[in-house]
Order: sequence, then structure tokens, then C-alpha cells
Amino acid sequence: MLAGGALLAAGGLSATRALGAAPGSERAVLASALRLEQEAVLAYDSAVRAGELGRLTDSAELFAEHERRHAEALSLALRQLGAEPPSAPRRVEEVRGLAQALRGGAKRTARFLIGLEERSLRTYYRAQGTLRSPAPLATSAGIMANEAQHLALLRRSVGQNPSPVAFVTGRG
Amino acid sequence: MPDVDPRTRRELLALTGLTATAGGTLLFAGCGGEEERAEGRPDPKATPQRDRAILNGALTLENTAVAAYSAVLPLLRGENRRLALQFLDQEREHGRALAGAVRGLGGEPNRPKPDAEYHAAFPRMSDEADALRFATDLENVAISAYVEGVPKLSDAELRQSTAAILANEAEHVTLLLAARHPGRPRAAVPEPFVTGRAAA
Repeated sequence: MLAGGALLAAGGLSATRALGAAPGSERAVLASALRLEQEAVLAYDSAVRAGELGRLTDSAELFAEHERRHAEALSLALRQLGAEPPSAPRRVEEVRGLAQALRGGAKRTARFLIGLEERSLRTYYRAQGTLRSPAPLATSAGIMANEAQHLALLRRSVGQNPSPVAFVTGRG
Repeated sequence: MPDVDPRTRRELLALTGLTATAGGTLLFAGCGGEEERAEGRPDPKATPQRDRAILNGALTLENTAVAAYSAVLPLLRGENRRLALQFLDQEREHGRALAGAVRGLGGEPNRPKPDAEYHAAFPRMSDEADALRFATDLENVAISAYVEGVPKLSDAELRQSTAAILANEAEHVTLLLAARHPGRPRAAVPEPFVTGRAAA
């Protein structure tokens, strides 16, 4: 997989062009994305409940709502492909690193959420290469863009450049 | 796209060659409007020729964005100016990458229009609020076109790269909205599925 602009700059064509992916691969990438959305819902909800986020609280509440909507859409897409969506985690211990982040205060929690959003972005970037039907591709692109928006505001909240790269893949 | 200033939208469509459907969707020229709903199947209309048309349409948008950010810079100060300079560089990067991809597909990249043509089409702006509003409108037009165009690309890696550009434009619009509506995250990130059609 080439990073952002490298392929465009080279004008290259992939070996997978127009071949698409096996339905099993589509289900796998959608299931991965859904699991991350479910973890994000739990993480944002837990961060809000912990009451340590300060000025980020309103954003976290909003982002939790967004992640819930994403999870619903992905669950529906998975069912349409004949797969059963994974069950959502219910305890902070089920999300690696979340409990420690919550104990570490606002900044550490924000950094954890940044990491989670970056993982989501990487998954949706991969999904654009794996999915082949237009409707899931469009949904995935719209969600990926939304995660980038979350990431921009989270980065700014911890003093980072909110939009550091021109090609957002979750690795920048 | 009812929330973008109608005159700005009209002028941007004329500049970029985008087509608006009755539902408000923006389409790159030659990319077709019919939505393919078959689950698990690629869009049968996706071809390298259509890829080239979509990428060249995106390049025209990026050329317009470069002209637009150049035009708004004199009206911006402080953090807003710093952000706009960064966005300008990023739009240039998108443009270079898209031009390379069009060439790679055997096409001739669309060239930027003369500055005078852009300036004649851009709205009259007198202060920072006007500049931020115009930049927001422009980014929403671009996002709307990318959201429609990305799934129509036949090449998997081109889809990934253009989705990475879309995500960057989404960051831009959120930071512009945050500048216009400080302390209001719902105004800065108005929709869970980014379409470019939300209230500006």
C-alpha cells in the first residue's frame, strides 16, 4: 500500500484495479472498522463520565454520537453482506490502554483518543482498497473524513498541528 | 448543497466544470451520476477513462482552491492566516499528485485558469469573516465532489489516495468552521458522515 500521494504522483495503476476484493475481505475490513467504532464509543463515553476532559468534554460527547452512528451503519452493511456484527465491548478493560489513559488525566486521555482515531483512519484507508461496491465505499469515505475531523480537533487540543499532512491516511 | 452561498456555488461550479444534480450532488464532468446499489459488486461503469475524468475534475478543484487561498490570505491574521498558508501548500500538493496521476493514465492535466478569471468569479470579500466563509464554501464544494467521485474510481489505490485527500479537505473545513464558531464543536463537525452539504 502506498502512502497518500505517492501513487497519485507516480500515476501508477494497481494490480487490483477493477478486480475488487473477495466478499470475505469486504466483511473482514468492515468488521475491523466496526470493532474500532465500538471501542471509540466506549472510550469517548468513559472519558466523558470520568469528568477529566475539561474543554474537550463537549467534543467528546459529540464524537461519541458520531461513532455510534458509524457503528450502526457498519453493522447494517455487514448484515447486508451476510455477516453478524461483533458484539461491542462493555468494560474499559476490554479496550487495550483505555483504563490507563483514563487514570492519566485529560491530556493522556486525549492522546489515547488521537491514537484510536488514527487507527480508524488507517482502517478506512485500507477499506478504500478492499471494498468494491459503491455504497459501502461511499459510506466508508464519509466516515473516514469525519474521523479526520475528530482527529484535527483532538490534535489541536493537545497543542499539535491539527492538519499536519496533505494526504490523511492515519500514519501522518 | 443549500447551505453554500448560492452565488459562490454558481461561480465555483462554472469555474470547476462540476455538474449539479437535482438532488444537490456535485459530479465531476464525465463521471456519470447514476448510483450503483448492487452489494458486493464493483461499479460496472468504472474504467480508467472515467478515472482520468474524475482525477482531472479534482485537479480543477484543487487549482481553484490554490487561487482561492491565495486570494483570502491578505484578509487573514494570526492563527487563521497560518492555517490558510498550510492549507494552500496542501492544496498545491494535491494538485501536483493529481496532475501526475492524470498523466499516468495517459491524459493531459487540466491547467489553472488565468488569475483574473478566478478573481472575477470569486465573491467580493472585505474582511476576515468573508474570507473564512468563502474558504468554507469552497472546501464544502470540493468535499461534495470527492465524496461522489472517490467510490466511482476503478483503481483501488487511486481510491485510497483520493480518499486521503478528501480526509484532508474535511480537516480544513472543520478548522475553518472552528475559527468561525469558536467553542462550538457541533458547528465545526456538523455531520457524522461527511458530505460537504452540512450547514456552513
